[in-house]
Amino acid sequence: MSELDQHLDRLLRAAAQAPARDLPPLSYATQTRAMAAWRGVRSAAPDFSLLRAWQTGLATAFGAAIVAVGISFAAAQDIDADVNDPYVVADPGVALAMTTGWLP
Amino acid sequence: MEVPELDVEACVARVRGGDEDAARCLMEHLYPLVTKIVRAHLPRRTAEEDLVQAVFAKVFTRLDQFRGEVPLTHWVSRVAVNTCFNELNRERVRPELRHADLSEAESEIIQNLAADTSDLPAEQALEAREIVEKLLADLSPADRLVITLLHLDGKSVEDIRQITGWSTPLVKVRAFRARQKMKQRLKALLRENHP
Repeated sequence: MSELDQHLDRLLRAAAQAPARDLPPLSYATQTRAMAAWRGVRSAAPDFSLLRAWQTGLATAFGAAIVAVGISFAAAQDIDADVNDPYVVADPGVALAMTTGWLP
Repeated sequence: MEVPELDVEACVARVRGGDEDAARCLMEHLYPLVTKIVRAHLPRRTAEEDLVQAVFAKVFTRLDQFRGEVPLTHWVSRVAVNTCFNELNRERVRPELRHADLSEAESEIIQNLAADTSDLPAEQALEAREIVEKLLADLSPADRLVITLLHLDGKSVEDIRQITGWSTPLVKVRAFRARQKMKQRLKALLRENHP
């Protein structure tokens, strides 16, 4: 260990022995300012329960919209098939004629 | 009359619910610990009270992050040290210490260091502390923090790892480098004293 290391160690050892200064009592001003700072942060922070409820509602609405679009599209496909296919249009009439013997 | 001991767990739960009376109780309970840490790591241009207040505001705001895996005092110590560390980081100007900046009593200690090999007398402890504070003010916040925790607060490398979140090798490397820098500055002071 060099001489300089020894000097530094002696200085640090002595410094560590220094008595702690008296602790002043917690002042009302410090307490009040800390409370005010905390209150400020709390009021600025978003309400997470409300935020979560809003997010859940948004996701549900989005899901419902997707399902509704899917159902509408499938229904539209069925309607197109009924209208454009002449056999599909004629089938109920043929079935009626065969079962009842009635012909228009 | 005996003062009833604070039920920390119940108090923390109430503070989490926004109870300001509970927050005041907790503040009184933790005040000696926080003040001691702030004093040990106080930047030159910051008032002690301002930093104590900043630490408590942070403690109350982040109390939701306290999981109870370590004692509350450990967690608060970590918040306090990090708050001081951030404040020290803001203080960019670190003037170099000159012999002329030392008081007469401090200058005498520097002379004693060079002339004698025995430990400094106990009555010079306060002046020694002042010199160390002045040498530390010249270092970077990380270097200052590691020397204060290791040599002045008597913490182990493992304690420092837990408080700072640094790895064990990083703590050791920073302590070594900080010590080297302090030695250089002390050498300059000794040279100025005995040209």
